[in-house]
Amino acid sequence: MNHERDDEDPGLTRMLRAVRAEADPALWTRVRARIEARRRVPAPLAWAMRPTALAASVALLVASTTLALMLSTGSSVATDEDYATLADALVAERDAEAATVESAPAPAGDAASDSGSGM
Amino acid sequence: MFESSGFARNAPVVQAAAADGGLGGAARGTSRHPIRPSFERGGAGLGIPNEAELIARLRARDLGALGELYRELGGRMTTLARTMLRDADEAADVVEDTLLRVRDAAPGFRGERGLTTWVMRIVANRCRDLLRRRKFTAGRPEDFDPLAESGLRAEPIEGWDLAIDQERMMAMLERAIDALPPEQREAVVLRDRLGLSYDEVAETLGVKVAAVKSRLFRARTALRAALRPPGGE
Repeated sequence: MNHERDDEDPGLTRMLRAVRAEADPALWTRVRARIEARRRVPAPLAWAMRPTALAASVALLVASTTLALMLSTGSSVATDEDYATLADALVAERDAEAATVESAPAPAGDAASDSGSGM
Repeated sequence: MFESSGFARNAPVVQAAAADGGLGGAARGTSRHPIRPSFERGGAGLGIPNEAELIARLRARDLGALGELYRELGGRMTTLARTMLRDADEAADVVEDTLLRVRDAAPGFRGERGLTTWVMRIVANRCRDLLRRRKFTAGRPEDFDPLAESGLRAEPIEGWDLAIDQERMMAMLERAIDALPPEQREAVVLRDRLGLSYDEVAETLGVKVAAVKSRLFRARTALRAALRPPGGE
């Protein structure tokens, strides 16, 4: 197909060129205001407001929250829910009490001499 | 009107740049990437006056230079955005974003591509993004007026055959442009409406000149068919 052959069409071009738009001064005023506003924002804040930085911050927040939740769940102590039955829970409680009594310090020797051996 | 908002046509030039034959050291680009104004690269004479100097000032983040750029290219940027989007508000947003993007990216602009094609490419890309998103929105109403809705103005054509209703023909043409696929529409707007050269259109769209010609051929054929009277050849 020879595109060059049909290249020029003065009538069509004249019609196409007759339509146009002008630059809008109000638009330039808006652009200038936006640039001035950006200049006033401190650089670190401007950087933090960038969409990429914002997205990175949100991603970091989600990741750290997830990690914190995982860690707290993993290190939790045994609770009542860990026992299958009430009997198991009671036995465990009794054992714990017994262990506490056994580990309590023995009474001191002079306490016994004061208890009634006489002089 | 523009004078009060930084659009003064005779904006002060950078003295150092002027004394340096139009370019300061930073404005020359590197030896690998010299700045070449578009008119030196076979542009259609639509290059910006003192383009190299303007690039230097843009690189230095000179706000006045950005205003000057808008004064030079604002009409073309707006025409492209409005023709592509057919929505004056969306087009304004695109132009606004483009100017901010130009300001942000100017320090890294090497000038291999002309300033005009670089800026128009940003506009075209933004329009394409919006059109892609618009695929999922409702279509246009039956009585949609492409010229009025987009805020474009049709000027009287010299030597127009008065027997033909120009306003009706222009509306038909705009509807036909609307019906073109976006890649053909942007080619026809850049070349036939804005008068960019084939090379500039190719640079703007990031395709080869042959692809531009092919798109233009198909677009013009469709436009002519749309304007042909019913039953006519």
